Amino acid sequence: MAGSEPLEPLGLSRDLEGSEPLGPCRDLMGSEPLGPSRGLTEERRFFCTAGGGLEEVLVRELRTRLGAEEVCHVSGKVLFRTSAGMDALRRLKSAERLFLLVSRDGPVALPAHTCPVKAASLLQSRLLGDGHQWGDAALTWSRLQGETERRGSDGLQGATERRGSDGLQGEIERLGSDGLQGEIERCDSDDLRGAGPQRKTGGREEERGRRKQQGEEGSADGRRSERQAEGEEEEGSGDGVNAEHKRGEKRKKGGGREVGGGEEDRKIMRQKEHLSSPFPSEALSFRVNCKLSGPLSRCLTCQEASRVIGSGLSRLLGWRVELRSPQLEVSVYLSGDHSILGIPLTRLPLASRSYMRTTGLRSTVAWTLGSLAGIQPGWCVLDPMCGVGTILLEAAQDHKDVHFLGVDIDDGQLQRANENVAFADLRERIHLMKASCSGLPVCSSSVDAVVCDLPFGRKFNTKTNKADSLLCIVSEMERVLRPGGSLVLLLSPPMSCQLKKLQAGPCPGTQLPQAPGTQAPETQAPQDPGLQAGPLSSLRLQATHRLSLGAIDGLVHSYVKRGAL
Amino acid sequence: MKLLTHNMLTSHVKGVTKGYPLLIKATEVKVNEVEFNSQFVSRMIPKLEWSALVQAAEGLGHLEDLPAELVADYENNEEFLKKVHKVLLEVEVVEGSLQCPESGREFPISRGVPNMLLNEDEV
Repeated sequence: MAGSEPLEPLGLSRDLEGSEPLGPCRDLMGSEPLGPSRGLTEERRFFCTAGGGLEEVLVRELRTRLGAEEVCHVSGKVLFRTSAGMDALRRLKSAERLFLLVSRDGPVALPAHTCPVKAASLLQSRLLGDGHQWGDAALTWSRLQGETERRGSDGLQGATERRGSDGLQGEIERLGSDGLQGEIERCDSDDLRGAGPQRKTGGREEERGRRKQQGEEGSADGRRSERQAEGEEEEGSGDGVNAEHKRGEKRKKGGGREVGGGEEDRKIMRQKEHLSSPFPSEALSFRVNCKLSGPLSRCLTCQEASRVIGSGLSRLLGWRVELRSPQLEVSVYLSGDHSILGIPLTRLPLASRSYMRTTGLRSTVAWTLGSLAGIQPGWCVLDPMCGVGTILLEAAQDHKDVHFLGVDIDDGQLQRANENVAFADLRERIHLMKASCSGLPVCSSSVDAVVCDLPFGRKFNTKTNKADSLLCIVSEMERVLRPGGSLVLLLSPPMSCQLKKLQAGPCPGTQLPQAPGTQAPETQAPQDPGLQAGPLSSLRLQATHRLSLGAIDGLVHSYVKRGAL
Repeated sequence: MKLLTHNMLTSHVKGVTKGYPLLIKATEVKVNEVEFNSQFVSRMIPKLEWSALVQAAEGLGHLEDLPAELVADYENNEEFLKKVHKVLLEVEVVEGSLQCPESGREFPISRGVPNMLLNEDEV
């Protein structure tokens, strides 16, 4: 569907609520093992998580950049097959996180009134499959980690990954190929589990703190991305975050808990020593991160499901549960529609960019806006409300022969934008200046594309009426845009409606306002733009696209300015 | 502010009909070496207001022997492209101001960023 629309210069399918059914890839995804015998250039199956509304964008990106096959998506995830290596995979721009796919299956259906014990055994029998599948997956994972290691492509590679690839291959091969029943089974994994769920969220807390800090520094942009990040994490870690939080507080107060915590640590240390005594680095350490939705989530918590799957895998493979810094993580997504099991391939999400110092708008969304503008070599691209410059930075990564101009009215934002541009070493391509978006200091018809994340009204503190200021801002963008140039705007749902009304207003009968989130085919008859008096009449709406920005949704409008080139 | 950006800038003070090109009054000019990208430069040249670029470069004392008229077949003239590259992207006005040729309004440039913001009564 997405691929069958070559006319779209914008990289998006018109079918927005993308309803590609589960069907086409259900067969493909089965539980065929990711065999180690296929060599390094083999095609492998992966999946990426994606923000709400970005699945279609990611599908298109996977097809065009990686030549990926068997690309299909479910809500929030895109599954695909490719022979591309880690370097190419890491450069994906519209994905959140990247996983090696272990298996994909239909939902685990629990009979009514299943007791937790029964549910647990059902989960284990339905999801875990045989040991070979996991052994093979771990081997592939290890190879991919090794690829990352050898090329040293990314300073962000964390200790976890480094440990992961360290001389593990032989061990995994051994573990993956035969009976897999290690002596490690003696380890009471449930015991470890009990100590752990809080621990594993330590990193998340840190990350969250960092983002929060950035959010406070930033403006509307920053806050929006923070909310989004938080939303994702809350979804992600279930009860863990709160538990850690409370625990952290208690520790700070210096109560008896601290002793308890210390004891736990010692206990784990003892177990570690015990486990690793005969052969150091004997068993692969892992943890399970489970996300539940649908009927299952009413029967089990994420933590319970993680524990069940963790102990099942440990029994099956002899892997060792290690919650704090495991070598490998197993991610399990169970919903009412599907069960997806995978192994994350990067410690940090792909969406956290190494070249970005201060983040404004979510990087994946910022990249999408730029990609929708259809930027060509030699263009001049303007962001009249650039904030910390996220959209320009994302676009400039992809386009070397383009002049980017960032305008903002706020000194603080411009300063951070300046730091970002310097940090990303893009000073030659991205230039900044201070001006108002309602009076842009550039000549008419002088830029090839305008890309902008308009403030959503929370910081929009003008005395004038909102519709008037929106009209004023967009008219100014229309003025500076050359005929044939493209305009891409990120708007709040009310602003999206308002803009459509504004465009429709002065010429009743030729255009009807459209509901947000629906496709907006061209309704205006092509006329000489000089003959049309209405505001924004030279802007032809190409498509609208709804995205999730965490707590709120945003709408992307893309336009082309009419007229002779 | 690089001269590539200056080439696009215009003043929209109320009543002004031709606020272009802005006169540069520099108090601090820096030349930073920037990696040469001949594609980029040759794609930018057709968009430039050539006379404005020459005038600005001359005013800053960094003309680099650019001719008053754009040469023909510049795409294949690497020596020429390198000169244009230097003027467009390496010369940077760090401190100073830009003056509207018609109204005389001055726009300050501080730490390399021009402030083109107008007061309410100027719009």
